[in-house]
Amino acid sequence: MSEIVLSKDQAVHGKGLAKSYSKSSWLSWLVTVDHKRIGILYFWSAFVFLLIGGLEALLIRTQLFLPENTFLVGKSFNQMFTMHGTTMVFLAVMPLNAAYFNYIIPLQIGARDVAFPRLNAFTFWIFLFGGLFMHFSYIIGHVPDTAWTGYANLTSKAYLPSLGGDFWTMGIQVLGLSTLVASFNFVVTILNMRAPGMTLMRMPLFTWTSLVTQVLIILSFPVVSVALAMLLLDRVFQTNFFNPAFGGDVLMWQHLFWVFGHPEVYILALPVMGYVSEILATFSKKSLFGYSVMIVSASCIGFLGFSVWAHHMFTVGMGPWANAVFSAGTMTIAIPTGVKVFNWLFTMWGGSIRMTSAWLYSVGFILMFTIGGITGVMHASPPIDFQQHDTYFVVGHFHYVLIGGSVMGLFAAIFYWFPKMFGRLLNETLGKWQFVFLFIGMNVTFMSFHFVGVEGMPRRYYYYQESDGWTFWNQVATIGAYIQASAFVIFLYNLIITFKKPKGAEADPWDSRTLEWSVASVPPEYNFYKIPQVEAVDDFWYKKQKYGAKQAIELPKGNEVVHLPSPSWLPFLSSLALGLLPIGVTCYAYTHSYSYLLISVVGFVAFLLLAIKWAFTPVE
Amino acid sequence: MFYTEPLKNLKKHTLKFLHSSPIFVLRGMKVLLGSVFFSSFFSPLFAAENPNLNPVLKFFKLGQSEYTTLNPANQLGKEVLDLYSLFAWVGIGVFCVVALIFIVVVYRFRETKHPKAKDLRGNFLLEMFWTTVPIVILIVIAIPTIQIIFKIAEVPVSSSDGFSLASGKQKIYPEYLEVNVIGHQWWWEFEYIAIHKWQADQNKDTVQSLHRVTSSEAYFPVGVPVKVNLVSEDVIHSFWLPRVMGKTDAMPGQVNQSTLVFETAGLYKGECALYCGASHALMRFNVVVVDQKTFQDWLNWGSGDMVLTTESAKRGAVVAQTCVACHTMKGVKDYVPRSERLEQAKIAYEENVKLYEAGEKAYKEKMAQENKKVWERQMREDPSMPAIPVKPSQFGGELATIGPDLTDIQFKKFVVSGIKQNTRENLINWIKNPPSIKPEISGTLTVRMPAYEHVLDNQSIEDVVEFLSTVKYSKSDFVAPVLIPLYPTPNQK
Repeated sequence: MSEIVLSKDQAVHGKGLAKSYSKSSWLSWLVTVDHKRIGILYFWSAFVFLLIGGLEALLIRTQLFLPENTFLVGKSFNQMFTMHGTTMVFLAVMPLNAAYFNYIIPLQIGARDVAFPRLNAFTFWIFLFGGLFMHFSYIIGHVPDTAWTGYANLTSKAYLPSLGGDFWTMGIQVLGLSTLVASFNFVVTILNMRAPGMTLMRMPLFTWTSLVTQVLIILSFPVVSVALAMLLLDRVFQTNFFNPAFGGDVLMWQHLFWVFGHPEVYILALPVMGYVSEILATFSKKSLFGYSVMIVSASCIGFLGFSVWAHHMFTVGMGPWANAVFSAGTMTIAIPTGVKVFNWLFTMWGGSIRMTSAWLYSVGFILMFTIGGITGVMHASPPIDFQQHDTYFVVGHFHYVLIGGSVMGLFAAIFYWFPKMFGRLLNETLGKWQFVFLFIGMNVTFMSFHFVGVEGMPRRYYYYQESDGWTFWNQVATIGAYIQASAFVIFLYNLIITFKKPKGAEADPWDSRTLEWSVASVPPEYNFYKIPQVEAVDDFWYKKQKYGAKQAIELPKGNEVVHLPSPSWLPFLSSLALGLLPIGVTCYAYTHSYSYLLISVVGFVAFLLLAIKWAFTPVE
Repeated sequence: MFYTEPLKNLKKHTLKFLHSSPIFVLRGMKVLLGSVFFSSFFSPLFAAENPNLNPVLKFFKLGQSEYTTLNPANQLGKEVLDLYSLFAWVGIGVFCVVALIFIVVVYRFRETKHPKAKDLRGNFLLEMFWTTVPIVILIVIAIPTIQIIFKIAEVPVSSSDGFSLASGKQKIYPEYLEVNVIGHQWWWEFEYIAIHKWQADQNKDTVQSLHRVTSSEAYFPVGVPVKVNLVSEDVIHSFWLPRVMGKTDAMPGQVNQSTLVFETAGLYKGECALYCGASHALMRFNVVVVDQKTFQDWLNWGSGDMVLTTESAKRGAVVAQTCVACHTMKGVKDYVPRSERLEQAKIAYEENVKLYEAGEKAYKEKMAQENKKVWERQMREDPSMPAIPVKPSQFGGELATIGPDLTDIQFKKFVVSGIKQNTRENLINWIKNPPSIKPEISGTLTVRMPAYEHVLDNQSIEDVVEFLSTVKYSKSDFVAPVLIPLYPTPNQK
């Protein structure tokens, strides 16, 4: 194998790829196995889906602005809230978290890449395929209207005959596959590829919460895959898993879905807690308060999250004993969450707080997540939940924890890690104005949801009358939604003007504490030329104190030769092949002609062949 | 030795005014206003008997809707509201503590005031404190929670001298009403099964069967517990009367039981609270609670022969023969109770099984004669084969009534699943074009009733509405009570 000395910032690849694409060509993005590029791919795809989901939300709010409005009625409205929920959960928040898992975890643990780089690329392409597949339903007019929870037996073919239900089922199946495969990748990476000296108890908190998240994914996603498979068989192949007329059980869907669904919401929240922990520590110039307690409480939240799923099902008639047990379990989760909130607040105690946009979003997260948690504890009580379940009160609750929690935390992460990922800092003034609009809009909309829920308005209603008494707060909520939309417009403008600036951010613009800041902003492809020897928790900060910044930061000199995994076509082609499976089944579902299933068979066989080739192609 | 260089770059990127003190006033105000705004939705704790009088609720326009959860109409509902208030107080307290700590921390340790950070990494006592205090708080709120869970789950059971709602509360009722509540896409059906009366001298529960069915607007007696058996004919619905009880799901494949207790007469509004398809938002219902005498009169409505007084009504009765293809109506096509339909379906099933097996046998013999293999799939899909018999169950869709019963439609305050006022005009518009009200979007089922404007002429439709509105029965004597709405609301159209 020949080694070529390239100019600064380029790495050497083995013979894996016959033709080495230049890094600036778009083809290089299709074959990349570099975790940083994959992170950026996830980031932009998820961001586009976030905007689409937001548009769907605006359509919903516009319909609900007036009583008996005819802007978007009946099935079309139902399609909107289905796609809004599904897009936001599976195509926006989860992949945005995945973008940071991809980009940041290897850098934080002192590794050059993840354990399985090609698999990593595969998970992105299969995610993108799943998202495009689900949105293809818009083009043919069969948009899912199952609601993001897809309750049987409404989702059976008899009651929702359009192809939308099939798109939804198979789309989420594919997305679940992507997430599940990625989780194995990250668990192995975190456990096996840490730099020497980095014990588990010296890992940054984001890596820790990511580890807990990946374990949650491994244990919960198979459950929803099974449920979706049963639903697909019911819809397309006339089985009767959820058909009570033939002995099936509609409650089984709910149990299966929520055994997945509850850990899912912790999957959405835990990485964000990791971002906030790091950002608060950085901008307080001190370490996180109660490092080991934070780790234990994150693990407790993850563990307990598996024991509370039926709090989504208090009204189905499980009986008072089951309700009481799940109620107690749900209230218990409030304890580690509360511990974390106080630890974050005390992280800032004694520190020296710099109030950047990232910091603002982090404290916004703390306050809004607390409110969401409080209303969550209310739902934990079945007598109260019987009045609040399936009303706008619940919608208010989960939007507080999702927008006030996850989205604000994600914006904190975006502002914080933007220089590292893109070499430029986002404009702070615009960031702060964006925060103000998002904070105000969010509270206006979702507090109004609480009010209108208490007044008895159920969820998923496209229609209400003036005499119902819900008009005022619905109108206020819509205004708030448009205020939030303007926050996103400000962010888009911020992105545009930031990308017009040249790359030039320094390695450590925030005076941070963790290893990813010890390399150049936009790290070289090999991350670290010399793998760091870790000596303490918050190792970079420790090194800065001990040796000074110049020694602690590693900038490329221009004569490095590092052997990295070659780019490969296999991930992209495998995901295309695997993507033929749902296409074939959809064509069959539409035409009932068995010959279309051949498409699926061809796709599966191609995938198998590619997988075999993949298995026998060493990473070079 | 601090690494201070990046700070100089940082200043370019942060707004200068954030480092000056007035922002803390602004930030503190923001949190304070947020607390006020936020705590306002906890204001049920100020709820008196009549929230209309509560200025805080009035200011935030709460407690005004007829579907509000803040104005419960019975004792159990008030206990639930008190529990909610308890949680609300606790919630406010927790948020205030968090907000206070936040304000203090941010004020004291902002960079301009506190440039040197102390590396505090943890404090065991603090961690203990804020772990145990929440545990104590949660135990305090969990105890009444669990007590009320069991209270809500009560159904009437026989005790020594009457029916009690078990769990030890000593209110004894001499009788209770049992009703099947059946959810359909997209209307609610109420099938009155029985009145259970306690015979003290015989020490047992005597069951007086009822034969009454209605839809969307049910009458219940005041002061008598109503045991509802909730089930659905198609998909999952959720039965919710916000002022009376929490919601319980009506599912296909499972019967849920719940108890309603009405302590005051009046009109209570209810809604479907689980996404059940395109017209989920249009699946309302009402409950009219009346005294015993009125209730007995209402139960009795429909007994006797139909009495029609006007020519238009008589013509309408003829037109109604088409309606009963889907609907039922006393005197035109009587309603058959579910249990009877189940029995009939079981008999039909046995016959269908015999037919199917005979057909299967004949098919196999035919294949054998032609020396061909019998393919199960081909046999099932052969149009000459009888259909596979569906085993009837009490949950099966084959027992469904297709359309609501129309016997007492003239007394309803609201028609079309509780969303339109009961006027001639609304009924005529509904019959003419149901999809214009329960919107039809192509490719999905939104309402099963076809548009009659293409089938019947205007006169026929007016006649049938006249018939429905003026039909009387010879042995029935019922006058609809005057109902005062909870709060004056603008007129529904």
